[in-house]
Amino acid sequence: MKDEADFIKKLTDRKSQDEAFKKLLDLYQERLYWHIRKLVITHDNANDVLQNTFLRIYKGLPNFKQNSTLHTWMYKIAYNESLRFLEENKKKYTISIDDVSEKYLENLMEDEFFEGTEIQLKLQQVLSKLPEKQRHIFQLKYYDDLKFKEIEVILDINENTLKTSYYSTVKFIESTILTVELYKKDRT
Amino acid sequence: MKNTKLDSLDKKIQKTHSEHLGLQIPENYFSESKENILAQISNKKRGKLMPFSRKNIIWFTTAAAVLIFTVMIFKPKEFPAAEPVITFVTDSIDVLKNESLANNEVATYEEDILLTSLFVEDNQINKFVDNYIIEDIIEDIQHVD
Repeated sequence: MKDEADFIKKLTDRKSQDEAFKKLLDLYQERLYWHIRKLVITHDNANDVLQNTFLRIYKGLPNFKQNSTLHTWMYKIAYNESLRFLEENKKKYTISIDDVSEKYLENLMEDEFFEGTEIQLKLQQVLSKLPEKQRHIFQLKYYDDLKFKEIEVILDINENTLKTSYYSTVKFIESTILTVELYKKDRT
Repeated sequence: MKNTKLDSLDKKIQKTHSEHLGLQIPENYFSESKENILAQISNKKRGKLMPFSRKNIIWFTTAAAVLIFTVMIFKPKEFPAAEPVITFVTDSIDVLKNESLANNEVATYEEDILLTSLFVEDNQINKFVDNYIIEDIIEDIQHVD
């Protein structure tokens, strides 16, 4: 905690700010990128949101009240920026709720930086079928490797609710993928 | 420079995203992205990247004027003289220019202003903006340039 407090001090002190912010980028850029990428799907979208996220982080640092860790605060900003981006795009294309899953997969398939092997595509299809919040909980826990306490702050959802959602999602994904694999085995 | 533990965590995260989800990135992406972000911040500091386009300036000044007029009309005792009005407007513009955007402050502020704008006549806004606001803003732009 003392280390983090010292680091935040450097980030807000004009003399040390530039060097400290470069260090912040080194520490968190990649993790925030992958967090954002899963939410906004394509690399180009993720790049835009990542830039905006770090600009907001830079602007917000003087007012950071340290109610949470720096790490959690930044993830929350990245999450909110991603949602803002998705909301603006929904308005642009007036996507209905039923089309969201299709749009998710469509965007994924169109992204030149999506590799798309069969099992990867299957997993993405399964994820796209989940309600948005449930998918986000799963991604934050499983892929971003965040603690439930951190996800509670980012999503503003009670920890017990998060745990219930996460474990039911894991079961659902396992059973769906397993069903596909068994089906394929039967056919060979 | 990252420490070894975090570096390996990042590599693990990248590997997971690549192998499980099929998500790839361009070569050297993160070093280029870091340069872009630092360049944008540097530009903002120098004031070259204007957060206020001409369209935004007119929007914000109109909104600030509307807010003032609404208060003047519904609570005339609050602003009896012109000078406090100008100060209030200047302060409002400064608040809007304040780039503490981590908590969506500006979005909420914009919604409030749009609601109050329903109660003020267009010609009153135009007169106020012409007389007081545009000159200050143009002076600000010239000063930055």
